[in-house]
Amino acid sequence: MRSAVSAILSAPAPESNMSHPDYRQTAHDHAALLIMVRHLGSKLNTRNFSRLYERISKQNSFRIKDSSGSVRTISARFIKSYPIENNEWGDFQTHRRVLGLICVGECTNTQEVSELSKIHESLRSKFSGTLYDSCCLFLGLQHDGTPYVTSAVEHSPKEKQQPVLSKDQENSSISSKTHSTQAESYISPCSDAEEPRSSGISDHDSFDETLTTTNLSNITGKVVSHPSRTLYYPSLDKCVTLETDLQDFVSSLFWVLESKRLVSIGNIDKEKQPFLCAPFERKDLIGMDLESRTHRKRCIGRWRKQVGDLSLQSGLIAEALEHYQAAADVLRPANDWLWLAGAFEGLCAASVTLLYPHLRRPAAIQRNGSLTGEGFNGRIRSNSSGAGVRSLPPDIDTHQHFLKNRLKFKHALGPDEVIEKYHEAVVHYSKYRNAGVIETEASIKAVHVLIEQRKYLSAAEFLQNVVFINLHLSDEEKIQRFTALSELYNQLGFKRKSSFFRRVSAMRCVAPMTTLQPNWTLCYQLLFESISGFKLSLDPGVLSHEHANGWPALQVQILQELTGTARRLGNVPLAIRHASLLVHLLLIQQQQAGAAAILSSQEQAEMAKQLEQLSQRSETPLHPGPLALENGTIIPPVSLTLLPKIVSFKLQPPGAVLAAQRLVPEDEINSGPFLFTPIQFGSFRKQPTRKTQVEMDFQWVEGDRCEVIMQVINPSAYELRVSNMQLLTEDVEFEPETTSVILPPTLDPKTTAPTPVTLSGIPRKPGLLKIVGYSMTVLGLKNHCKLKSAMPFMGSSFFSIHVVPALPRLSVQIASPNHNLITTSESQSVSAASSLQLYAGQSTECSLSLVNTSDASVESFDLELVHANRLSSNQVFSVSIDNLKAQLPWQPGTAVSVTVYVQGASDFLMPAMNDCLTNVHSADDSTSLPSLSGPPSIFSRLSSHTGVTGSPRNKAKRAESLVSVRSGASSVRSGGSSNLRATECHSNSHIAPRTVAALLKLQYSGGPGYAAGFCRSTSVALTVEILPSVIITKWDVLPAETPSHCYLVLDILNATQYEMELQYSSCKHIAIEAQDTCRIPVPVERCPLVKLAHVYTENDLNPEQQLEKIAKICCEHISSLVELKWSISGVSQTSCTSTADGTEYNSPRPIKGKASLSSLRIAPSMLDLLHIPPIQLEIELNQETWSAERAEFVCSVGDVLDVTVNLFNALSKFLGPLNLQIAVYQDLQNGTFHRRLDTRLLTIGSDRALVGKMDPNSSYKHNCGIIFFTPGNYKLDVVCSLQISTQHREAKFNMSYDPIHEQHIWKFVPSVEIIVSEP
Amino acid sequence: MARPGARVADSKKINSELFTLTYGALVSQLLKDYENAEDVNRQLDRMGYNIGVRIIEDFLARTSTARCTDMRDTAEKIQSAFKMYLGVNPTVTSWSPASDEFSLLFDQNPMTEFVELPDSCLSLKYCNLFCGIIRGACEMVQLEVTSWFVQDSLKGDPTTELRVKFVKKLEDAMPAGED
Amino acid sequence: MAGNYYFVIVGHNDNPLFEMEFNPANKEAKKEDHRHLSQFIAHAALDLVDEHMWTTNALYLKIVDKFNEWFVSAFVSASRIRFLMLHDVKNEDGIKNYFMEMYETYIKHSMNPFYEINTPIKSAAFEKKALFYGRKFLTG
Repeated sequence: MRSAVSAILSAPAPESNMSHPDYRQTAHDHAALLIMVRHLGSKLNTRNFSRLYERISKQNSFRIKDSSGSVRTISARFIKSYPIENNEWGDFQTHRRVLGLICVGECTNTQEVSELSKIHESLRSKFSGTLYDSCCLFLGLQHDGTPYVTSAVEHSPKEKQQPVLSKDQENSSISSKTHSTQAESYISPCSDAEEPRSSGISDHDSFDETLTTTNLSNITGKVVSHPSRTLYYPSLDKCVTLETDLQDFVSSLFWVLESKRLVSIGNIDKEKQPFLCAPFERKDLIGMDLESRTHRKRCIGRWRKQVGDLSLQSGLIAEALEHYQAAADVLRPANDWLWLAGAFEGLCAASVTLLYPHLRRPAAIQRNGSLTGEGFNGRIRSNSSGAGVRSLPPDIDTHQHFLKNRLKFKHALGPDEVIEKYHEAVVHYSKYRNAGVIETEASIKAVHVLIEQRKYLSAAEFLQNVVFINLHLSDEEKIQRFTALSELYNQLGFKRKSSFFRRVSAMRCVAPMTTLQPNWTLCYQLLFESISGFKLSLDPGVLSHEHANGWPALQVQILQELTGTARRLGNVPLAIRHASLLVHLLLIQQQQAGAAAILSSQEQAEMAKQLEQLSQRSETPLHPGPLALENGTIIPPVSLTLLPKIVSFKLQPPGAVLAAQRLVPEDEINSGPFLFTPIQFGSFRKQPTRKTQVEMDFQWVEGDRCEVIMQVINPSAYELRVSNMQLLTEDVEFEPETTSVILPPTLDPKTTAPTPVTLSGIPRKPGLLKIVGYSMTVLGLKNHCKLKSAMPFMGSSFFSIHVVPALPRLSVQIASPNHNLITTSESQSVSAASSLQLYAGQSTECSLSLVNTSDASVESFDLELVHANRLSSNQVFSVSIDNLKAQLPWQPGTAVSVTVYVQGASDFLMPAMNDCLTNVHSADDSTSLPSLSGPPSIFSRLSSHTGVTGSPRNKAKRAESLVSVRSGASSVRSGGSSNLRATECHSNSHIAPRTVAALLKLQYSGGPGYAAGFCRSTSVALTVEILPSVIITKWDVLPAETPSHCYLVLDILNATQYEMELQYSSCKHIAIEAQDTCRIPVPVERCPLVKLAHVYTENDLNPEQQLEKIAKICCEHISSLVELKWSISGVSQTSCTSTADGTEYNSPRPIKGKASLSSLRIAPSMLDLLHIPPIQLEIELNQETWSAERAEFVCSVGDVLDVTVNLFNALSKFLGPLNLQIAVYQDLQNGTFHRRLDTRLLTIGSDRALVGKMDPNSSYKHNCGIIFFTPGNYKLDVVCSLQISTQHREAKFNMSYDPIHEQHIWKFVPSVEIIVSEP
Repeated sequence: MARPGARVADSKKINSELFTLTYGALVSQLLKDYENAEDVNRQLDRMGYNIGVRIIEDFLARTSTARCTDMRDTAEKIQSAFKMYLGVNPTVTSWSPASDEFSLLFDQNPMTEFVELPDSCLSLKYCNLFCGIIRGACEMVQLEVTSWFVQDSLKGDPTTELRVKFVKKLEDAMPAGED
Repeated sequence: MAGNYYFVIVGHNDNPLFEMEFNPANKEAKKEDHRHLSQFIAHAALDLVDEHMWTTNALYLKIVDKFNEWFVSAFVSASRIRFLMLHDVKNEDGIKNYFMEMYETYIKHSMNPFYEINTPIKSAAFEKKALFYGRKFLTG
């Protein structure tokens, strides 16, 4: 950059009298009186001064009546300082002369006054060459406090006349180029100009009495002591007459000017005018032919031109135009290019004042905020006058102006001519190296006009030309120059050019080669102003992610420069701001469509490192908020949202154990506390394509740790340390936990997989929690990554989730007897699980211990046993929590325990059998079908189906078993056949242990969460393996010796691996080898009729149901009576897990258990034996009642044995038809009966009877006699059978059933034994 | 796609740039939608197939040719078809010994004018449409063939080579529907 | 008369699409600083390009801007893609021809279905052509 800049700035002319271009000058200034306002002394603070200055410069146009009485508009231009060199050019362009000097100071006493006056004097003498008048303006002196007070109001005009004159004499005497003649020549106009002014004064006397008098008197008073006037004002606010005094001052200037003008006009035709020349021309005078015609022409021309200037200043535009024109006409042939150009410029200036009266001040000065009086006031002007005009295009409006003016001013130029002339002027100026400044200013004036005409291109050309004008400038001036250019370009709307030059001057500020100290502040200022031109914004939100906007390389450059400058300024936060924006910008550019990398990856890494170092250097903690500079500019915050880049952002539901659930089902809580839809939901719905679920369908729980899992990618090629990342939330108090992650550099963007990061925290209040993003520290910078900026692809700017009020938390442990605790992690749904092993019939208990680990108390608790598909498991487990509930609420820390009873429940039947039954009764999936060759109890039932009651086989079996019972050898393997069958049935059925599982569902709640209708639930899994212990392979019922009893005969298999002690009734024990079977008769009381009576009495039962019921009742009867207590000892270590308690682990105590017969199935045939029949039989032999106690009845051959049977219906319901049968037979003691006894006996009367029906509680008697022919042992059976009533038969006609099945058979037991002996 | 091609055959003028751009736009849009070159290749092949099953009728009608007797015959037809519809004249070469497989060499290809494959999708078969067309067309005349690109000048190969292989004769007259 | 040239194609958002420098064979490549200068000048010149555009129907705008020793010639395509050439020697015809050829090349390239308008041109072929024409019309 610098190399280039230096090219323009290469010092051109060795010596130049004028090197202070005034970039603010406008064409209008040609017509203005230049008045310098200086700030004297230190009393007056600058603020007050500028206020005063503004007030003064507001007044920049004055209406003054001239000698001819016509009003002139005189404009004044106030400046604070003016380089004396420029004053030198006063001859060339009179508006460059400082005509007036106003010194402003503040003082409290007179000697201060005199001090300041001295300074004033020096200033005056400095500019004495051009000053027409000067005045001091002192604040702080009360008018009454001042010594000189005269109240000579009416004299004032006269006296006031004096100073003007005297001053003028001074001026004229001092001024080199004024003639002695002028003195008298201007008196006439002055004197006749008196009227208007005195009048003017008088009227402002009336306007304010006292002050003016004092002021005027002051003025008159000063005349003696000070050559120039002095004004006193009590204070800034109390100088009401300032304006009028100003008016006076200017008018005094005007009169001098006017007089000069008249003199000059007078001189025009005279023979020898002085030869006016520009400062640099003087030296050329030597050896110049002063008599040549061209020289004459030049003299005249130049004089004409000056007259033009004067007339223009004194408000006579028409004359001015005329003179300029004339001058031009004279000068052109004289090839006096410089002055010709001057004439042209004057012409233009005059025309412009006509064409664009409102174009008082360049807009730039209004815009760039350097609020000098002119700028400020100029704006007011242009607004007021231009308001109407601006609406229509300027050329039209100016054109109208122009046409209007043409008539009045015939020499006035049209808009285009103005430009032409300016152009010409500039061209001519450019011929003189030393006229550079004039040329520059002329060009700039032209530019202003062109801007007004909206001819930007030609304006640009003028500016272009300005750039190339070689001026000898100091470095500050060079900077000013570029800044000014930038301003002008800005006015043209050439933002890019403007920015370019701003940057150039910025670079200039800190160029090492320059003489002055690097001015970083200014440099930063300028750079800062330049960024807009590069389509660069300091707000990262504005930067486009999709497409490049602006010139990436330049943007990066500027940002680098800004960063550097800020660092040099020592404003670390600022430097960091810019540096981070730079890093961000680079990342953005990186992802733009088809972007080419501006910086190599290591350069980027370098940037990052710099940024990191900066952030370490900054002692103050960096806040990510907006940053305010001294000059009030706000630097928006920059978040490195792309570092790292978020791929996904997912809220995690809590573990099932901790998840909050509704106490009431969902649909009922429509009025629940959290029924709420976030407002943004609408906006979220606007783009349904973006499928991002904003509201979660699960809840978080207050006080519990919640997680968000975020997938991030490191877009950069350098390692990324992202530290204290934590969630940013809204609306609900949330306590985030910080995490850190280190992301490796990304080499190939395509292949890198995102890294998951878990952000967690604890909500502290219930409500709808909004997660708006996360904050983290990367490269040592704290960043707030809002989702809407970090994840634009996501529809909404936040996630929202319900936070449920706090709920208690229970830790669940289950201790099974063998103390194997399984307490699994809370993430799973099952918090604990326990498994144990039991033998069938054994029972144990596990204790479920609950500890309230939270700091909320548990107020509600519920426990539910959920069984696995096996129905049987509800017999296995049982639990009661009533006492637990009694203890509620459980304060924090309290531990309670529930006992779960585990019963090794099983039907102790052969598995096959069991299966088949379950097949029939419970819809259970069993694979093994019942085999007919299976358990004999089935067989027996089959047998009882087939064949009439007491079919030979049946009877045989019973007899045999009876025998075995009788013989009392219970443990003996009696009846090899049965034993054989037992083994075979054992062999064909594998007795597998069976597993029963159940789930303990715990549901608990408490605290605020309970109030809000939420709860927690956890569950414990229980599994029990039930090993077979005793198994009943076969069973049957046999009559006992007494009618009140019967025998339940069981074949029992010891399915364990150990010898088993079995107690099957109060007094009876038996030991069974492992895997051995033996038969035990269990004496059972027959089921009393009372239990059954209702079954019989119910009419609306079909027989099957009836049987069913009876069977059931009997079954219960049995199981209530019979209890098989078994115990195993010497259990090996391995299986001792099932011992009642593991404490005596090593000395296994015998395992005890009970086998119930509840699941026995009683075949109908057994039933009649099992329960006491409703018909009671009573036998009388030879009129004496036979009782079962008696062993036998003896009679002799030939006698008639009289048998009487009494039937008694014990039911409250009639029975019938009954079939009574009396049968006599011989038992051959070998399992066969001999029934064909016709040859051995004779029955008198019928041996059978059919009883239609028996009324309730009625009795019936049947009688017959028997005569035995041969001696021997006989047996007498009395059987009474009940037919099923017919209507039932119809009812169940279509059902396949066996009528024979449908009858009860009641026998008189035991059979009567009759011994017949020889007579 | 087929129609502009056909018009070329009609010797009515259709601006080849338009044609090329249309195809280019199609492919690049596919690429935008599917984001994966393989899928795009598949799509192009399907489109081609649809074109083929239609265009064959038109072709046979115009040229009024008899059924092909062998692959060489078919090759000729395909060659002439390219000439007719695209105005390019691929050379038929490198027959397999069993003469059931041959290559079409394209010295120039109007479809790929202007086209430069970005590095991101070098697996893209820009002209996979051709494969589909040939497959579809042959299928309509009870020839099952497979065809694929062996070389592609877009990928820096010296030329573009399209390989066509005879698979089997389709007995049933009905063509199998789209795959 | 071999001078230095800096050629850049600028998209609608003032974003450069393609840059290339041509230096006389004898001189070695400019330093980075200088590259930046060229970019800055070109960027600033855009203002004038945009103004000049409307003053003529011709695509070629001749020299639109000067800075120090640098001239800026411009060419604006029909779709307002701006071709800028910084040069420190006058070579109107050469530059004009170069612009023309590059315009052709650009049109061709923009026909590439895979090229997105207003994005940087990263095509070896394009570069080769630019270089070739550069030798032919500018440094050659």
